[in-house]
Amino acid sequence: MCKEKVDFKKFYEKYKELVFNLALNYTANKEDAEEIAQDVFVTVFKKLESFRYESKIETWIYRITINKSLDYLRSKKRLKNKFLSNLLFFNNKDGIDEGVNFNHPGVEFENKESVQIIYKCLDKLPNNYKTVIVLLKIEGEPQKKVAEIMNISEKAVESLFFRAKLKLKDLLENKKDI
Amino acid sequence: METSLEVLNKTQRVTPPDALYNKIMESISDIADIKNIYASVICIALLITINLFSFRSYNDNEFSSNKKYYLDSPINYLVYE
Repeated sequence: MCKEKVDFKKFYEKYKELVFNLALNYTANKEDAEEIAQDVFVTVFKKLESFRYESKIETWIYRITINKSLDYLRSKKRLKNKFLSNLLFFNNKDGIDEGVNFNHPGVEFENKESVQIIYKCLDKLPNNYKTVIVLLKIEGEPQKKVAEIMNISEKAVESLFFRAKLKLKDLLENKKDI
Repeated sequence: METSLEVLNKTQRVTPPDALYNKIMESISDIADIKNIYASVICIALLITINLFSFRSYNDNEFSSNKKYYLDSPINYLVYE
């Protein structure tokens, strides 16, 4: 048990920034990112022994973090909608102003407002669009690595990113009109 | 549009809080505790089931062995009062 703890501590030290920042870039909220990171490392601790090294361990951690972040955001959105419809009898179909509870410590003060608007729109994108933008643009990962993480070809990543950009542009323009 | 995405590029890396590791280890030990509780409950339930089963089968055997004894006895062996 002691040996496991030492190994896990090393493992945690190696991947803590990756997991925490990726979760933070999905949620744009420090507290949510902490919760997701906690969940990710507990899952990794439970499944590390059964990991078969068919893919790189880093890719595996990326996938777990992405899935946990998306699940977390989905459940949070569901709770929020339920709460609103139950208490206020109000159904926000557009939901564009619902947005995320923005608390991203990595965003500089002068960019905060514009990044906050982008995050509100990112939140409305389909999961694969959001993932490709987060990995390519925010995390700054190369296209090859993104393809490996998302388990698709590099060409598919390119076209997905193109469509994601168009959709985001559309959402941002609509947002400006409001 | 490109300007918007360039803003995203400027997002800085953040160091996770120091307390995160302790929280993770607490969650892991909580899971271990829950597993132990489940294991204990299953063991107790299993012991009760085995006891009940053995008690029932013991009673059944007592009855059947007596029944066999009476059935196998010659009719004239029985004593009538």
